[in-house]
Amino acid sequence: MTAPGIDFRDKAAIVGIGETEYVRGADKPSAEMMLEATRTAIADSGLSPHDIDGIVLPPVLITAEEVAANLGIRDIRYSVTVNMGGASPITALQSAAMAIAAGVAKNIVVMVGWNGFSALRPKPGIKNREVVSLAAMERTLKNYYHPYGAASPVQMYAWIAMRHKQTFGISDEATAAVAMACRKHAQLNDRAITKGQPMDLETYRNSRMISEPFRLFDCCLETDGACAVVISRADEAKDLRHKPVYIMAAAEGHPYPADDIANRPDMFHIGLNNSAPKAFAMAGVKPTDMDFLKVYDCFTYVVLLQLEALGLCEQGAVEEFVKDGNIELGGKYPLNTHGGLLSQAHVWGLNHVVEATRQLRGDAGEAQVNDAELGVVTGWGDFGDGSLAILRR
Amino acid sequence: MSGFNEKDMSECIPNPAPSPNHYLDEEFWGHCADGILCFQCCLDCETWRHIPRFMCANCGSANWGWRQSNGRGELYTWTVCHMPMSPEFETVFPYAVLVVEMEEGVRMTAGLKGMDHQDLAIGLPMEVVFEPLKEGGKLPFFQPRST
Repeated sequence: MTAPGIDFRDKAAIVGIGETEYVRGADKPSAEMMLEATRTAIADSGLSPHDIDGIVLPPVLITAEEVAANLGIRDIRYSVTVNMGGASPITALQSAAMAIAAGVAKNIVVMVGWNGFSALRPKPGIKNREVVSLAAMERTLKNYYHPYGAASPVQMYAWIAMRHKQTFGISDEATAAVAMACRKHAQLNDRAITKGQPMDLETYRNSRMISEPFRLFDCCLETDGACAVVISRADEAKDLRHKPVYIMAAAEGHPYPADDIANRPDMFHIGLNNSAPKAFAMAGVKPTDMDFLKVYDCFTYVVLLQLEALGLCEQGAVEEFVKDGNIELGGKYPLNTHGGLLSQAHVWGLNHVVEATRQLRGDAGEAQVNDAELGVVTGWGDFGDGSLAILRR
Repeated sequence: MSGFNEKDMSECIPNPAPSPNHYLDEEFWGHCADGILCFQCCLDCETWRHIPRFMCANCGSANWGWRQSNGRGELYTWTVCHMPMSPEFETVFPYAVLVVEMEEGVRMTAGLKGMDHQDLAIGLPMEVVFEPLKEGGKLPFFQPRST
């Protein structure tokens, strides 16, 4: 375990959060939704759009140039696009915190938005299909996976999940615990798509198979919407509207090789195995110190893999870790208290950052974790890239 | 792609053809079209590799050649797709997509032939068979082997 050479611990803080409504059928371009969330986040921070001097984006359907033109930013001091799929938003936090610590920029926006329901997969009635960049994986996909009908993440992550399940004898109870916790928490959240649709264990167990071992309710929602956060210098954040949420540490990690799942020497060694030790070392805290977990939950089993990679339990012991309400509100490690991608909305996990910020501000309503002081947010993307941020109030 | 023998289209599988980015992909699939499974091997350190790369990740060498695989491997992991995500598979699901670990040490994705997907298990001995594509060329699939 090596600590990073440049320490940006506590140099930057999340000062503003914004979300659109999360819906199925938005009828708005992604860019418009992202700008709406960004306006909300800037207003929430107490800054004005002209105070923003940095823009960090996942590979979404807007450019830094468009953002700057809409916000009226005449001098973008820092802009970068992160190509790590669903891990991009958390890697974006790292990039923003580094830029701020280095003095390159003072107030940076990170945003994500898409029509994940209305315009992603080919469906009847889709007018303008939106295509997400798969740059890092495209060659492997079109040459070596697509010819066999492996065209969607659910089919490829299934290779890792199936081998893990078989190797360690993980039962469906473990994935059920993740699905049930997220759905239960979503019942407390007015912004969750599945609020008012609680799920019982039988419904989970009887849901149809999508790509073994993933059933329908192992898969996250397809939704339309956007969210955004504003990150500022810690020393100036104290004077803004809300209590700052400090970025203690953040790190990105890639499995090896990142662009082919099949040929990894250890298929269970995901990006988070590389990034988690670095971030915890930088923050000077332990995984078990966390008051809550926001874990990227595109699929239930992907959460299990990340809980192990975070170091919360030994490899193969995750079923024991998630049982008996340990990951539910009231348990030791409440997971995705907003409902997550599985039961709130799929906004590439930037909605996890928004919820973590609410928790650390003490603004999480019915889902508030008592006296939440410290939390971790993870991102997972492409073929198992993994980033994390450790946040404190 | 070369080497594709004219066949009754009904014998062809519906899978989409690979879409090479450059000559490394073209050569890999070109060998498959001839019914031969080849992987790259480093001429300096003798490390086999797949998917095709320009350099040896083990020793950094740019010297490599194609070597024929013996076609034998073991099942490393798999999924069974019950909901097709691409149009070509709408009439053939459920179907399995395998990851097979070859005796040469590389792993490859492949389709399944000659057995029920319900009987798949890690470590199952398998061997390569080639299936003709509608668009020309052939795709390697794997079937159980007895020896």
